[in-house]
Amino acid sequence: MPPSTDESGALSGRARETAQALDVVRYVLDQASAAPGGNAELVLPESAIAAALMAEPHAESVGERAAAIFNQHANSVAGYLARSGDGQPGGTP
Amino acid sequence: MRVTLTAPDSRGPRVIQEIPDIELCRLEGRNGIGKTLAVRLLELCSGGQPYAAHEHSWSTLRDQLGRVQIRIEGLPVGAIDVELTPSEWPERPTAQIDTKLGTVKIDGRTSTWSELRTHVQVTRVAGDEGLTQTFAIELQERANHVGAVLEEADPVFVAWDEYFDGLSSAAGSVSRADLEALMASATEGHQALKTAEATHEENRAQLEMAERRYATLASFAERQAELPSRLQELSAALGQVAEADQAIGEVSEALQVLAARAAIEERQRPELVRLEHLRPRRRRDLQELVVAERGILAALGLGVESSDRDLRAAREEALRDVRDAQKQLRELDLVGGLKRTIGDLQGQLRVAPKSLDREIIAAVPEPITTASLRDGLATRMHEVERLPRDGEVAQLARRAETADRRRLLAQEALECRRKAVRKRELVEEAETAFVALLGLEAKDRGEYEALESRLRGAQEARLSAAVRLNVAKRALAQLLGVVLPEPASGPESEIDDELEMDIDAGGDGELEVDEYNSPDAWQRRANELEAEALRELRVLAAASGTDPATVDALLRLVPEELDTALTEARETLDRLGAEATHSRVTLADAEQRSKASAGAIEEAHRAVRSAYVGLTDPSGVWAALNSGLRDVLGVSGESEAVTADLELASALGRVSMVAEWFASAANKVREILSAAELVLNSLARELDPRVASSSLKAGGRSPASSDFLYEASIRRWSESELGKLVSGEVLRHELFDDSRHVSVDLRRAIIAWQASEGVPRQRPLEAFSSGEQVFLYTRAKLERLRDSRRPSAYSLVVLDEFGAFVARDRLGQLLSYVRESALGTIADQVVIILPLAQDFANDKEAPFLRQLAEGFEGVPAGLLNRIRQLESRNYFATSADGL
Repeated sequence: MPPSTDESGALSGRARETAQALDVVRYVLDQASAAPGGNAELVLPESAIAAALMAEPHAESVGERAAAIFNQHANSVAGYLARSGDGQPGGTP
Repeated sequence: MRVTLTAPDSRGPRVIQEIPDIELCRLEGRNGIGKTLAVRLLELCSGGQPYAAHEHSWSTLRDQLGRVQIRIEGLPVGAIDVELTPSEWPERPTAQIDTKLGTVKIDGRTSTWSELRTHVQVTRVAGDEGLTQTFAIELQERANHVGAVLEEADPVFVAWDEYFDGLSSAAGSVSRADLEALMASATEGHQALKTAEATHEENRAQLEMAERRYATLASFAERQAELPSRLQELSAALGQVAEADQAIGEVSEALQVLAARAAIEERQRPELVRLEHLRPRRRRDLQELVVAERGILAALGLGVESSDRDLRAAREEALRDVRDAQKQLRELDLVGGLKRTIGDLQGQLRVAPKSLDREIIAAVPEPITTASLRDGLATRMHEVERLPRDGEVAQLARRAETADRRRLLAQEALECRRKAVRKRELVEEAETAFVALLGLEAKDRGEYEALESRLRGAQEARLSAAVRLNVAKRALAQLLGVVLPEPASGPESEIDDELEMDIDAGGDGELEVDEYNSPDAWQRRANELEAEALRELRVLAAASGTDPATVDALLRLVPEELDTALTEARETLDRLGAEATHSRVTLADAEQRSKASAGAIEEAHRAVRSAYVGLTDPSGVWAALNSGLRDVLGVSGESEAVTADLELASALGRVSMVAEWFASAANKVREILSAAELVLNSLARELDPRVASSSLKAGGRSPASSDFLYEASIRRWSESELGKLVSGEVLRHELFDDSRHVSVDLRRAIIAWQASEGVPRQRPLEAFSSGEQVFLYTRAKLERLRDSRRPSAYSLVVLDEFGAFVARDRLGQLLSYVRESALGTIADQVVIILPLAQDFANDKEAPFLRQLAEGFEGVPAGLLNRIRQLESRNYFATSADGL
């Protein structure tokens, strides 16, 4: 999800904050996936969830966001959980 | 562009009034007049957050500055008027404050901050920041950004968590393992029920056999002990009756002789014949009534002298006992009560119209129809009929029965007495008539009376003998299990005498000697019972696997040995009784558990189906997840088979797990953000303690385990971010040998790079603090502005706090760089803010300088201008071209 910009094309204050927060989260997730025992295949849904959570501060639209992410990634998550057999979100950093 | 500022309501902070429209402006003034504040307010207007690392300053401005009016002129769009409202600013210096920042008008019309930023961009570059402080500020700024996002997104995290919690709950609480466990438990329960039924049946059969054996043995022993004496009593009573009968016969004969001597006219003959038959008949009836009454009194445990009042009292007491036992029965006999109630309901339903069959008859949680109630009652009745009656209940029932029998006997005795009174009157009446008819002489009358007296004595003796005979027969009957006729209330002698004649004509007038009066008959009956007992014991021995020969031996035992055998049989009976009771309880428990288990399975199946339907309902609350759920479920809920339900439970379990993963993943994101805020703050504090106070929230909490978990990654991310800061072309060329890769190691506090010849090099951060290097950072920062400049905006760059750290020769060098490389590309206007180098207004030479400037030609005109500006507003702003 690209950060929002204002009319001048520059990042807005909130967009800058969100971009930095998302950047650090993605970095940590990437690092966790690369660590021994990490799960590279879960980084994508986790990053998508992070972006969805920070997209906008209005809780009213969470259902729509959650549905979109769920429909996109539920199958791969279920597949991973079935293979790993533990049912827990993976990624030990 | 020209900027003017006023803060009319300020209670402390000061702000300079003007930044003139000078392309390269030198602004020099006294300390504390608001030079930097003016620039930072402009940065706020153009979208920056210069107070990210200065939270205390931010708080001070909120509290004391009051509204600030700013006018920007000289732009093509027209005048821009801004009014800042610090009292409405948020508590923390977050970046997203536009809605609270204040108001903006462009060319007289209300506008937005976004539009303002398309026209103006203001950037402050500080000259008093070394590398470590620059790093600290950068990290602090990121910490604040992360903290702001975390705080702002908090309701989203909560809603997200609730959403997936809801999905997990909707997937149901019955897992496949639960369902399988329930099914296994039900199978096991069913098996346990079968075993309990078989065990109880076996115990019950053994108990029954033991009861039969004990009863047979006990009867045998009783007969062995009592039969001889009972037979003797019978024989004795028979002899006494015979003796009495003989005496009666002799006296009767004498009386007949006496009657024959009487002068009876022919016409009186029929009456005489009638009375001769009637008198003994009435006497016999009276005797029978008395015998019957005494038999009843003996059965009731009352003496012959008992009064009518005693009998009525006994009857009332028995009645009370009956009622009491029946009342207790009603309270205790739940099985009986249940059966009665079910029976009543079934009776009502049998006569209910057929049309009611489909009508709801009871609005219980799962409404039932008339037809289903009828079926359910039939099933329950079948079950109830198999339920055993409690021992106490059976005892009460026997008590009620016995008491009722006593009541009837007491009633019977009273009836006998009443009839006997009447019968006695009839006897007297017959005797009187007979004597009158005979018309005896005085001599014969005396003889007659003597004979009558003897007759009454003989009859009394016979009565006593008959009672003893009756008692002996009853004792024998009880001993040998013979049912005797119930005690009778005597002949219905109140009927008229004509009918009595007819009856008497058929009888022999003597006590009937039937088989109950024969000791031999009783002995034969006893022998038959021995044979029956032997057969019974042999059958029981064979059924229990015992050698039948032991039975024969058993019946030959002497009474003492029989007692021992009986005691053993009693103990066996008690033991089997206890086992049967235990197995009955076990069976009831197994039935209960089996039923509960079946109910639990049914409930689980319903829950699974219901959860599946709820999740896949196209118009339900989870319809938006349709495609994702279809992927995860991967099964159809159309089959009703048990295996299909197991598959559904597995599928629902997958949904639940995935939902929990989505909730947990969000929590992980929150933990990473929280850890990032804390770690970035911590790193900033390590680099420069002066920025440490800016993080209130993260700095105020204790580290969590997740902070340590992510600390290394966040530190590496920080190093990567700081590495980008020092990887600009200028710095790489000037400080890092044109190395293509410059990295920061915060743990070791070094910067590492590779020299041109590939030799790895590193220097501590503290080594980058000389004036020359500060100049380089400034150049690097200005170069970075080139990338972030908004194309359409007028760019004002302010170089602040350079005087204290940059030598004048370096300042000239910087200005040359600005003139040649920054103006027109990076910035449209540059302001260099310097501390006042010489206070023309307050120096002791000031008057002289002022006179010089005003009175002599050849003195630079700018000097007078600076003096006047200083006098009027504590700073001056001129072109920097002269520097």
